[in-house]
Amino acid sequence: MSVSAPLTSAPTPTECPSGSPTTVEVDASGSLPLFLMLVAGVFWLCLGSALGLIASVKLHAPAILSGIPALTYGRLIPAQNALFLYGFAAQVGLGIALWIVSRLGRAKVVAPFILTVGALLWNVGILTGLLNILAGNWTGLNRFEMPISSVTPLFVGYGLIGIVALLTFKARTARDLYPSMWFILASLFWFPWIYATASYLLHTGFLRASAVPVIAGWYGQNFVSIVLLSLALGASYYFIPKLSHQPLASRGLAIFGFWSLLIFAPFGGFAATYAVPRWVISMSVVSSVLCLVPIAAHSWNWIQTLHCTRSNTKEDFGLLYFRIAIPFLALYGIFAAWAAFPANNTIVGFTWLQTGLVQMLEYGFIGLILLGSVAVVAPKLTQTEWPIRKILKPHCLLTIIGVVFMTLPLLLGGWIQGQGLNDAAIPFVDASKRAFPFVAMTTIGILLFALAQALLLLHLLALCGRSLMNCCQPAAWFAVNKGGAR
Amino acid sequence: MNQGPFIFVGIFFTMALSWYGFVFKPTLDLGRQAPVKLDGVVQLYPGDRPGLAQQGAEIYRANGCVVCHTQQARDAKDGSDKARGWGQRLTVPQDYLFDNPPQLGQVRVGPDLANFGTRSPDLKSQLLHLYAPRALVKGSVMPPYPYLFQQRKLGPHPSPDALALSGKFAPPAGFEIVPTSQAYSLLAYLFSLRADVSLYEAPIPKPPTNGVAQAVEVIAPAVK
Repeated sequence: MSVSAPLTSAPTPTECPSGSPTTVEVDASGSLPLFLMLVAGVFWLCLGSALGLIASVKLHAPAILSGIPALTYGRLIPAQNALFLYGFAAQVGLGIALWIVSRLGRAKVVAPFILTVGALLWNVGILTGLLNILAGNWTGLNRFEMPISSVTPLFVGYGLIGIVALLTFKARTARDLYPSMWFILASLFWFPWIYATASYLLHTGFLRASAVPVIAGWYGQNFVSIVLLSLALGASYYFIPKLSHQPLASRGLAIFGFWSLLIFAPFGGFAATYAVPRWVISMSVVSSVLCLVPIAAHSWNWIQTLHCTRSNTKEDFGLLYFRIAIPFLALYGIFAAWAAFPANNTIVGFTWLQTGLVQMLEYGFIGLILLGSVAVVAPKLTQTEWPIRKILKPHCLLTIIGVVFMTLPLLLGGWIQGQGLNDAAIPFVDASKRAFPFVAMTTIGILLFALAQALLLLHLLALCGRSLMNCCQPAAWFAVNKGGAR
Repeated sequence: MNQGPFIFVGIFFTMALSWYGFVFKPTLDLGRQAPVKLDGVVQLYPGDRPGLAQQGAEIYRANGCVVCHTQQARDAKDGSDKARGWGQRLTVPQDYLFDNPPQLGQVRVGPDLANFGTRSPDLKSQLLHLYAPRALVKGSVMPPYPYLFQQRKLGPHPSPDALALSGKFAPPAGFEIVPTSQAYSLLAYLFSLRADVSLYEAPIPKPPTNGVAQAVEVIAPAVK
């Protein structure tokens, strides 16, 4: 898989002066901190999935490990969420974004040392947050689980990473702004603003409690549907054309999808909530429906791009992650809009369908895109091929099957459960039991998912070891650097 | 879209729009909310929870009860909440004015708790339910919370607080299970959950009174 040539249009000589660094130099410039971010991210994903697996098993046998407060269901789930969102998605997303910025801009990563410090601080924040959540010191707010002690390391760590990203952006020698850059810029600016706002309002106790659900919901929605989704969209706009060896189908559609997402998505997230002001709920319903517009624009753009792929070109295996992620995003958009309508929400609100929807976006789209990006980028950073390339295939398939089992059964299970809950003649326990065959399938799903990520983590470590061995053999290192991926 | 500043201004504007709509405005609107005076009573609504219940709220939050239990009852027209006895009316922001953070929840793996206190719960059986949910509800998926209880050696006089456990849930011979203060405060919090007063924005519908029928009821015996 070669990732080097420009994308929609070849940069003209004025855009890409002869003095710009080669792709090998660009990759080498930030390899240590970026590889660190990828490995740490996959490690947190593994750990989070393992915690999620324990939680899922406890749904079938609640008494297991019940004597350990840290492993009670109500702490495992927030820990799993925090590790996925902050440990994996944000960290790997930022790492991939920085790599894309340096590759697209043909610029070396500026100040890799500061980036390393930033990445380390971010991980310190995650570790503190995880320990606090398991100790019961969490905020009680979804998607904003980590307590105040994590705010400083996360914020400073993010600040350092963000500054390096912006400086690298500014130092670019290719001036053309490809769509990936827009999404990455949006994500970079959006996060500090929402995180500062939420941290100040939610941690200081300054806010009236009745406004807390609105602010926390706004933060969660913006963090996932703008910050993380933009990082994933940036990566997909880069890798889908790149891996399919095709130019992007339409730049105009990308522009349209970009702005419509930024305008519509921030107001979502309350469609299945009742105890907030009515106008907030109404705006969320409208937002959920309107979000179909950017989702359709992006999906159509990629489908068109992939459609043109020549059958005689050997398709890169990494593309499968991206191919499967597209229907997940489309299905998420359709079901989220459907479930937002009050008539449907009466049935599926507060059911497992809500969990399934969230995981469709988080694991199904964002997760798959970022894992696919890791599979492509990690060997470029270490300038070494994967030790056992064949492992990528089972990883990809296990991940996809895992995510399918984690999400799709919950949609049907939630619907059936909702029908029962809405009929007061059916006792609550009986109505809940109807969903349990479907919940059992998610346990299988998260087991497969966790296995796949453990495989990837081991493979990443092996890649690291191989790269170190190459470094210790000057002749081999020289050969790799000379003939390495361009 | 090749101009960095143009993109930046656009991002800033969309961000500001969302911030104004869902942060600035709600903070001003809901931030002004204060306890309200109800008809015919001296107390304001909502009142502060008693100290023990406030400690219980912390235990509720720390153990993530919110992951499986919502605290938002719906209108009679939306679902079966009223028919199940989970609430007379819709839960509104006024109800959780002093609960920071409010534990609204998103999924009902367990029943809604917004009005748990109004269901006249029994302390003994709720403690038992907390220690071993399946001892009371067959097939319950709620995890047991043995760490909110203490296993003590049976003294000459058994504790009056000891749980009445039998069968597979019973402690080893010569031991008894007594609740810790944490278990009591958690239940104090749960018992304090009641959003059952009629508010301006969420009135509890009263059955219609038929003046004629009442008059007949009063007058009819006199006429006889």
